[in-house]
Amino acid sequence: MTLTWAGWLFMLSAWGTIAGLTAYCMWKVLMTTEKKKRRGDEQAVIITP
Amino acid sequence: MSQNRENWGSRIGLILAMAGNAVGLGNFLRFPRQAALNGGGAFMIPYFVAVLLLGIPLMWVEWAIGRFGGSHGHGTTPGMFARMWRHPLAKYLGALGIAIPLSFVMYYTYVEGWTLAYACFSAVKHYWGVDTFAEMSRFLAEFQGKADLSQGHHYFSGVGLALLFYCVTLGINLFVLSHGVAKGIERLAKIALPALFLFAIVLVVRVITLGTPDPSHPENSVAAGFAYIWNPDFSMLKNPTVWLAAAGQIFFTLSIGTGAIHTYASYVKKNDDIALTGLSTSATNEFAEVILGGSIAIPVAVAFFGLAETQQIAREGSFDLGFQAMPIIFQKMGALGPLYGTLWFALLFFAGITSSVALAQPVMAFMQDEFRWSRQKATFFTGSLMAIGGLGCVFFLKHGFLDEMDFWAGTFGLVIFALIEVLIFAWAFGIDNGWKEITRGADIKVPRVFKFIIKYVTPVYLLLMLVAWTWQDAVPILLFARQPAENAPYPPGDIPYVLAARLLMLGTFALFAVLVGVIWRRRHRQEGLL
Repeated sequence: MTLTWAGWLFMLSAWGTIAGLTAYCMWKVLMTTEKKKRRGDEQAVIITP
Repeated sequence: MSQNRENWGSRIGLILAMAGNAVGLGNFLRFPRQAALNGGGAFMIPYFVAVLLLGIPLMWVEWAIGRFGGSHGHGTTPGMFARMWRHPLAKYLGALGIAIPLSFVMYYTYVEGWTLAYACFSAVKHYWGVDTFAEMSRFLAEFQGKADLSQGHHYFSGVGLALLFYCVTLGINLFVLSHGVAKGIERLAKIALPALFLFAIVLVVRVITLGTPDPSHPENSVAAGFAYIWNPDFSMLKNPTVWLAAAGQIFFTLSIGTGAIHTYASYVKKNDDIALTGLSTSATNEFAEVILGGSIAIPVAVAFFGLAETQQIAREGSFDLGFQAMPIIFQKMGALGPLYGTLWFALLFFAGITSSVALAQPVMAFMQDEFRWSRQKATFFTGSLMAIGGLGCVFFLKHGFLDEMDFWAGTFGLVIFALIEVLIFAWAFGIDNGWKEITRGADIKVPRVFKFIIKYVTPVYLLLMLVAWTWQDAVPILLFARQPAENAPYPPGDIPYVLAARLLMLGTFALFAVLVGVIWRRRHRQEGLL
């Protein structure tokens, strides 16, 4: 028994979709966390005369 | 209610803890078996449909209910449902969200103990030399106390060692719970999840590079294993049981309908994102299940045993694959066999413990939030309840005690609870309010079509599942016409033990329903005095 073209198609499209979605989510989480952290840091700056 | 509740230490810690809750034994043992038995690659069609129409919507619903409840000081569903649906029944329905995960974790911890025991057995080569299915089956049965020892024993003289590993596992769970959310559960997830992924990747690489282990049998190869899982059989799509199996798998894999997600989400701050975090949890879980889980057990079994024998093992059950086939395979993997065996069972143990602490946390949260108990007192109470059911599983396993709890609490109960929560969220609380909860503070734009899906499609899908499972499984099992794990009637001698398991689950629900009644009456009295 060998992987048919349909088997390859199913396997690679499932893996690609899931890996792509996971990578996107993790990237987005890191980006938004970083952005919020930066915003928090900026707000914390106190300018004294 | 206002009180200082715990919070997660970091967002990545939250995602790891939630992913740890979702990634469990089912990802590595149940999924590959389900895929192989239900049409191979074609199974992925109903599977992805179920992810989109059940998995992701319910994940968001549970996160939203949890964060909403947490913002009102409630870490469990009785308080959450009562806030969302102003009806006296709501809080009692919410008691299911404590009783179901507690019943679930009672037997789950015992299975987790087996994985810890087998990790140790692999490291010290305890089962080396037990190299046939019949003997490995005997080894497992003697370890579990299921074997008839009247003719003597070969490997274990009783259930003592299984009991010891159960106690150790229970102790580790309680130790983690006693340290709270950030210092206990989150810290565990930060260690266990990366370790789990690392072990799984090492095993996947080893499996893929196995090729054809026995050149005299070129048909037995890893490639044939992948073909068995992924070559689509489209004729299976016409079979409703395949759609039901796919939907059921989504429940197991994402830990939906257990009440655990609500409790974890209750520790999220009111305006923190839940949409992206929920999606990340689902995606991480799918990665562990489809890419890693699908690439270990079945391909390696086909490579060593051939297709026909693997099909037979897959039909026998997930545990046969994990605890009988895999130990035989590790013995054939040369000098590094003990290492791979230890990694495999350690992986299962990590997958198990990150789920079991999540399942136990609702009881902890209920006692801490509603009764203002200290964490230590709540841990003792939770541990005592877990031990009652767990010891029942240890000593009455051969009489179907664990299978009975697995069916009612770990299968049927999840769908019932999911249906209740989605109806309360979308219809009683109102989909407009619900949608605002899901999208508040969201770091991604949630497609509006999910509003329609949550209100109409998910409840109908769940209702169809419930009707089908009631007809197909629940009624025959309830009437003792068929056992949950086998297509045969219950042996008459097992019926008292099965009734005891049912009584235990009903008693658990009754206990929390009474506690809910007590605390609500007390609160009303206090409000009346004020």
